[in-house]
Amino acid sequence: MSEARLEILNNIRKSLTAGEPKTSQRTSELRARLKYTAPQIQPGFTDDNLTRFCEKHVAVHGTYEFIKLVDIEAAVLKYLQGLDIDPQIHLGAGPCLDQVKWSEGVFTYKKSADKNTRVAVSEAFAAVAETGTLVMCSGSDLLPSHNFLPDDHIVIVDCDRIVRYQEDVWPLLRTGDHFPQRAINLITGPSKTGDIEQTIQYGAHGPRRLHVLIVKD
Amino acid sequence: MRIGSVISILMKTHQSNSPITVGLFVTCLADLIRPQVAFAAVSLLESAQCEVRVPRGQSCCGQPALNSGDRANSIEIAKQVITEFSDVDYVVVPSGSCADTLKNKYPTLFSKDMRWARRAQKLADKTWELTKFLFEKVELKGIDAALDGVCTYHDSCTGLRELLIYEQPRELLKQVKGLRLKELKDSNVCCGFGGLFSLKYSDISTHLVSDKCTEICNSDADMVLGGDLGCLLNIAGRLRRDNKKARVFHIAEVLAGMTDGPAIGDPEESE
Amino acid sequence: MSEISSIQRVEFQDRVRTALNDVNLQRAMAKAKSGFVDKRLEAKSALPEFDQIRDAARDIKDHVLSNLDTYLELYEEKVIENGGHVHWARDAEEACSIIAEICKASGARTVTKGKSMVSEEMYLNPALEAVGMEVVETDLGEYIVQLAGETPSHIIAPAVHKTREQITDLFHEHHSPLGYTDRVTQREALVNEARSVLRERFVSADVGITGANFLVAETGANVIVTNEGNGDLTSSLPKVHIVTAGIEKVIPSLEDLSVLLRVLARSATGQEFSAYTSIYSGPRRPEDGEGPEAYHVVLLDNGRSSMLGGDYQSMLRCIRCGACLNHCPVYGAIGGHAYGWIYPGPMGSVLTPLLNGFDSAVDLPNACTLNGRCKEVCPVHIPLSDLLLKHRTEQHERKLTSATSRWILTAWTWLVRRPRFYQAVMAIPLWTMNRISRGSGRLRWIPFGRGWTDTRDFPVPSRKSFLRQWYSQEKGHE
Repeated sequence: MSEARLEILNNIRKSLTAGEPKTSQRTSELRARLKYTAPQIQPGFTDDNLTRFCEKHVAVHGTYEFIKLVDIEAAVLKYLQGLDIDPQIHLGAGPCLDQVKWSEGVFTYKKSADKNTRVAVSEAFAAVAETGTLVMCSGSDLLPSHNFLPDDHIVIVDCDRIVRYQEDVWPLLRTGDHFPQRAINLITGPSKTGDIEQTIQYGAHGPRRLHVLIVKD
Repeated sequence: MRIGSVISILMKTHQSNSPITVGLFVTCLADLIRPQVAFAAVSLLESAQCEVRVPRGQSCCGQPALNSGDRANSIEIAKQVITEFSDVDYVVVPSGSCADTLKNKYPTLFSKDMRWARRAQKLADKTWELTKFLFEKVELKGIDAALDGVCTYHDSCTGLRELLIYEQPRELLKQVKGLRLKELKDSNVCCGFGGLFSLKYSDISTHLVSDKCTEICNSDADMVLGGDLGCLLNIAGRLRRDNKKARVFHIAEVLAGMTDGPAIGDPEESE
Repeated sequence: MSEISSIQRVEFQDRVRTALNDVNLQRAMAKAKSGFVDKRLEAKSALPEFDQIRDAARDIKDHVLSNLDTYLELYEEKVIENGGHVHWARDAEEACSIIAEICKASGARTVTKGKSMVSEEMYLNPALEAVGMEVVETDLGEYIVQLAGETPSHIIAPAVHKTREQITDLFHEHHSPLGYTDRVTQREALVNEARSVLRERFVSADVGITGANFLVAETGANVIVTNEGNGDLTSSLPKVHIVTAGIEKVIPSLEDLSVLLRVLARSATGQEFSAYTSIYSGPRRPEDGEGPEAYHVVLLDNGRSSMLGGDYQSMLRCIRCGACLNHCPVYGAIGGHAYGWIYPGPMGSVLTPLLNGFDSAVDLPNACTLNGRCKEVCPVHIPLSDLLLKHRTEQHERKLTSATSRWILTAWTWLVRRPRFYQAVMAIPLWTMNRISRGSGRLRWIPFGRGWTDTRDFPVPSRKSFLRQWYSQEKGHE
């Protein structure tokens, strides 16, 4: 292994002799570039974050509603009722979600989703207005399988966690715990494929529907 | 050196009072197959008060060699063109791809020869494609041509992408009385000519020109125009083989009012 | 040498002819044709900053390439810090044996794969099957292609060449033994059936192998961009996750990632953002409730390091979006398989000779009209058509082109450099062609021009060339 590594790196250096010289100073400059990064060119838009997020989320076939913190359970149950699904949910975690006291009739599972999982309820780490994107991180009680196996994914978004650009997420992640998390999943709409006749079909492998509950008190 | 530069300033002042001289680079296809394109170009340039010269020592810009990767022969041809056109103010070419060769390709051929590199750059700086020259440089107004009919326009690739020729021909055509321009779907998609490509990969070339001709027929235009004879020969050849009605002209012929005779690939009048 | 190239020429031309006569292929390509182009244009038009972002994307890639050794070391450092392993492979064979070893050592029997062009480049599937692994592609297009026993014909839409009827037949044949005996024909039903079949595979796989759209040096992460979510299930469910990537995939930081993501989806499918963009760093952590126990990255060189610093370095900027394929008229006519290797279209015609040897694909750089549309749409400004021309120059200099064609070019140059003689000589074919055409304006056959006249008329040249007319009219110019 180390022989191949050496040979490849040497070959790169040989090819780059005309380029920037490799010095320890250069290495620390590049290290610094990684540490002190700043957003580069970003698309301009005038809508406020909430309006933009909702507009973009709908554009990628997502659905949403505004709710109060105390109404999370009711909203989840109403959504499930609408689809005629039993109240059995795989449950994630988060500042909003952790405050919900689930009623007795609701079965919640704090475990990985499997191939038969119908519904997962998660809370987003943050959301991006620019593209209508949900930011999900792995961690304690935060299971990425919830994002990809259920038919229906319900995601709680705290209104205050909707940031303008993707680049606004990175500092939040960096200053949080456990960075870099094993999995950072940026989710923009339900799963889809265009592989048959270049025509979009929803529900390829991941959730067929993505419903967002925006908590706004 | 000082005296030299004073003289050159004096000469420039002198030149500004006399008409600008334009060297017409005819292109080998116009020369051999469709001379009327060159006559039309001369007529348009003269109506823009240019003094047109046609250096005799010209033939081809060298694209067949250049696009075959033959640099050595391309260099020989480039040197000849550079020399022949050294004493005109501008070089005007009725073809986007040949103009691009003079303007953008010649300067890349002389990376190891500074003297020729400079001369190539000088030629490049004064080389213009015909419609771009007429519209942007001399701002030709009062084109005295009429053509009653619906035309569509094929944007030849090199002119479009390397020289950014798109609105110039359309703006000039607005001055032609009676002409109605109907945009061609996928007008910016290659017709499949590509010089030697059309012979070496004729199956692919045929597929592409068939698509192009289908769109031309769908547009229901009476005429299809363009700025590059190579593409027009390809399109006309296919339309004629399929007995389609659309007639094919080079834009210079239309702007110069030279559309009374047979179109490209059409039978002679007497027939 | 010329013998090799003439054999290849026949092969290439045969593949082209087969493709052009393949009714299903032509139907599928016609259907796909304008979709990608229109959607990209729409996405580009909706973003006024698109060209500035493109410039920034190019600059990021250039910056990395000119410091590639350092960035790879920084990236490796972080992967190790995250608890992952980095393996370096000089060529395809070495990469395959590394991956086979990891699979064997983990006691694996089944492997799921997310779409990865670099794994196609290293012929990974047959290599794993040779050591007893069952390999299942999970991207729907790639799965269809695997069932058909083919390779992808497009770098982001692997089954673009297949019609719905063909997919129906494939699913019926392969899914019937699994109990799916109804023959489904509708798109939605086909997608659902594949979803259901592949679900079993996802949850039972021992090893998951994905590619990487980017490797982030800042965090030691691999980034994968998909719409289906298959890459995420492949990355998260099995107990081992292996990432395969070319060494050029590394980028500095998450901020750089944001720039590149803004041009990637728009250029590829015309989406603003793909459904799933996932950033994976290492194996599961103590706090994680799930995730792979082991995380391996296999970095493949396979000729890339030699492309640095030379005429073709810009090709290493490629982010595999497929825009050049979607906009290439030749690709649109013949599809991907006719190109003969896994990378088709303009990017493939540049890359294949560089990775497989200049004499391995003499036709590819020539089977192009130099229309420049690929260069126009490339999100990282790779001058693709210029690079194809560079290849032609290289072929000419290495004498990979036929001796006859080189001789003809030299003879022709000799002639055009003697304009008066040229005019006199050319008068002969002009006169002859006019005689033969008898005023019809066209020729239905010309010598050495059958390629043209088999399908097109040749417009008859003028009786007398322009220069001869000009100089006989205006003696003053003499």
